[in-house]
Amino acid sequence: MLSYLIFFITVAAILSIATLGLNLQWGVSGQFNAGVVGFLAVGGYGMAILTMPVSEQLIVRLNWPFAVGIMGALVVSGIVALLVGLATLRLRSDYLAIATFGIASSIQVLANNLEPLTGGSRGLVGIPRPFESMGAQAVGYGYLVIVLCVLAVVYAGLQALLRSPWGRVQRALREDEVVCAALGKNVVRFRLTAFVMGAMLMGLSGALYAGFIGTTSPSEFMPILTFQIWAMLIVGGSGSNAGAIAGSFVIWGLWTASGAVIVSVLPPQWQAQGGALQSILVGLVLVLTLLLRPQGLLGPRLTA
Amino acid sequence: MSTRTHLLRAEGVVAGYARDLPIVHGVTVGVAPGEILVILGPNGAGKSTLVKSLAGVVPKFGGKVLLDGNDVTAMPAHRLASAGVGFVPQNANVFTSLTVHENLRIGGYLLSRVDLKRRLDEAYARFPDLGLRRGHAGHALSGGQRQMLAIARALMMAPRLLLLDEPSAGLSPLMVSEVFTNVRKIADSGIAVLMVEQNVKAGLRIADRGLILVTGSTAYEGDARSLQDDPVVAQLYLGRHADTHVDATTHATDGSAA
Amino acid sequence: MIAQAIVDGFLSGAVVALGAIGVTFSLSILRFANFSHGDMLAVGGYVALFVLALVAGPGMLNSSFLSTPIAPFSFGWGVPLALLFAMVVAVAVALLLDALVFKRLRARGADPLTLVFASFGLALVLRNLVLLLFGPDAHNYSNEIQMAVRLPGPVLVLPDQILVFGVTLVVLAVLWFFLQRTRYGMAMRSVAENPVLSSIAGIDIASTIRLTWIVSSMLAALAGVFYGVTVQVRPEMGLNLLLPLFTAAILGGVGSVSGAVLGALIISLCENLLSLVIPSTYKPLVPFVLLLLILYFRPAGLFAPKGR
Repeated sequence: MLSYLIFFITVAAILSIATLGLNLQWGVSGQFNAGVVGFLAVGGYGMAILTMPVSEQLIVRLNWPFAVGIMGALVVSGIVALLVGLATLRLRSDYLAIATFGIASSIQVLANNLEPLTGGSRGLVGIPRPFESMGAQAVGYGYLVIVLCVLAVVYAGLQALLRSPWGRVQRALREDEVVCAALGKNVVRFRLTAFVMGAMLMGLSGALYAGFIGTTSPSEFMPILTFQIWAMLIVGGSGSNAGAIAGSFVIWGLWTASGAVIVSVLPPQWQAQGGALQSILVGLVLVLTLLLRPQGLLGPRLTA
Repeated sequence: MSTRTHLLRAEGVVAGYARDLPIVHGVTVGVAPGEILVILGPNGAGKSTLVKSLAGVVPKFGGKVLLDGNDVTAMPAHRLASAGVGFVPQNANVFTSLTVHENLRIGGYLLSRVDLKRRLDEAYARFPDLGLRRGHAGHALSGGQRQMLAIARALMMAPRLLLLDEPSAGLSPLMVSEVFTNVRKIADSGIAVLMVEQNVKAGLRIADRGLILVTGSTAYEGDARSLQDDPVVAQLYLGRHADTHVDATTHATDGSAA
Repeated sequence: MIAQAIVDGFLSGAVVALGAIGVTFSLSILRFANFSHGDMLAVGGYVALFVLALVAGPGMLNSSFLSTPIAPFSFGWGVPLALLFAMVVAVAVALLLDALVFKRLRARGADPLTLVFASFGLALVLRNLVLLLFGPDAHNYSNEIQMAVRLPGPVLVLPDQILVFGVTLVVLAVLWFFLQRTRYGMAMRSVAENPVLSSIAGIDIASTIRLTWIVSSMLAALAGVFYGVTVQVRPEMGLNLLLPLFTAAILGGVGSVSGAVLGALIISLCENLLSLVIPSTYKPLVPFVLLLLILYFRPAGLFAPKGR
């Protein structure tokens, strides 16, 4: 039971980091990322590729340490975000949604097919984890501590960022872009940095996830993850970092609980349908929140 | 002039883009058939917002608007068009990707085939320049031709009330004169004309009455002649030179920059 | 080989074209990227599957007349009937979603991203409803084997493909006539360019919006059924088609129907030609690469209506 709880908290905390990243993109700077899972995948695969032990089937044989792998994941996800962000920077806002959706599907295709790099549909198994030599218990507790520390640092950093002049400009941009542009603020640059930083947090989350599970494969990063993280953000009240973390735990709790019910109650051939029901509920949460909350998605404006 | 003869009677109109931030604060105005009322005022006074709210394009949060005695306060823009209100916006007032002919056909969207044919012929007779350019796309027209097209489009429905938002904007003095001559002719045919203008001199020259709007409220109202002749009024509300544009003394935006 | 790829490109491009037109309408008239449009194709495809199963199945509605294939095609009169039902259901779903969700959000003055977000959530719901009702496996409309027709090249095409292509051409011609020569079509074009100017000319924006939903969903249902006829239906088909649909509309220039069709053709041709040199599992990358290219170099699209 305890180990299950540790597992749950670790994963929820890891996903919170992605939700915080999404908050930076949406809650703080008003950009719609329809391909969240893609950035997690980039981070997860980036980390895995850099740290995997040397193998004949893989062309990348760096076998770098855990921390370096994490850094690498941050860099790669930042670059991918830049690629997508620069393309749509001065265009209508829904183009970013389309482009992020596109990058997520493309990453899935690449992950499934570039076998020498990504391990194909089997993925990469056996990612080295910290404290591995000290036994399974140590890995579990140790990783939890690492994740919670990272989460705390990220949270504190974001709070500080929002209170900084940079954060104030972002808030002002959200209210009235025309005025800010008139004041000389480079609207485009602010949007882009928020987007890239948010994406890097998502990459960090993906990397931590890959490190935790020890494997990474296309089935770890399915499209539903995008919707789950969105639900986590808006349930918590977008704009609020604390809300993002709380929302992550709530949604992840509901998801795993309902998943457990499905597995125990439904016969195997109906489990796909059970999963469909979960997804429908997530979709309804998203749409109903939009309809029923008078402020729509904005929630409490940017509580810093 | 007795208010009983007014075709348009707007009383206490409160309008803006957000309920908690109205730009027009209770303006009362009336226009009779055949007369031209020009609305003047510094930038940001709310002139454009006022005329847009009368056209149903900007929401009204208070007041009453009567058209020929009928309450049209809550009427949406497309119904106002069929009720006899024509509106010529300042910007984006023609369909640039459509031809002159298509623009006019859209102006006559609600008309029967017979009426449409007749009004098209009338439009080309009234604006021969447009007749020569039937197949030209909107984006290929000059500023003056576009303004003519915009007005012709609004006249397709044979409106009883014509609203114009700064028809002289961006035009050469020659074009301005031509546009205003046309507006005078339109009024003389019995249509009530309400016109927002920045060009005070030219506006007052063809208008019958004038209204000066400052920060969303009526500051002065009277007939055009006395406004023209009264330098004190002109100075007070319109700045030193009555025929130049004046900068805003307020922070309110009147939406015409949109 | 190349000739075959080109012909395949044209044939499969037809389906994408029909779907992309609906996307270009939503981007220009409804003014938001409708992420649920792909799943509208799936709705169409699956309703048709359901009707076909009824007429071929053991129940009361079995009809050997409808389920017997008409040579040389793989299907019989059941498919046109199923198509009719598919279009009716798709239109009903689209109008329902507009009334329940999008209209309410528009009335609140919601910005485009809110509508995008709503469509995003609705897409998830639609996709999984299909999964719930029909299961995760792919389905074919029929198991009939067709004799391929041999064209000069040598190029092999299936009669089904030729029929679908032909019907698409007819539909496009009808649509052109509708948009260019009828009042309602003119209203759609003017609202696409300038809604405010349209409303002061007397056009009822709300009913134009409803009309747009109707036309888009009819085309989507058609595309979905055609996809089912020439390929197969599966729950993720909407998700898989979404990127090509968006890319085609943007490539062609938002608001341009002919642009959407040409964009679809370009994507389809690229996919099929590239499959000659790279493994076909990489085909799904083609739309995205084209999307990035067009966004970087010519975001207005290749055939955008002039003067906008």
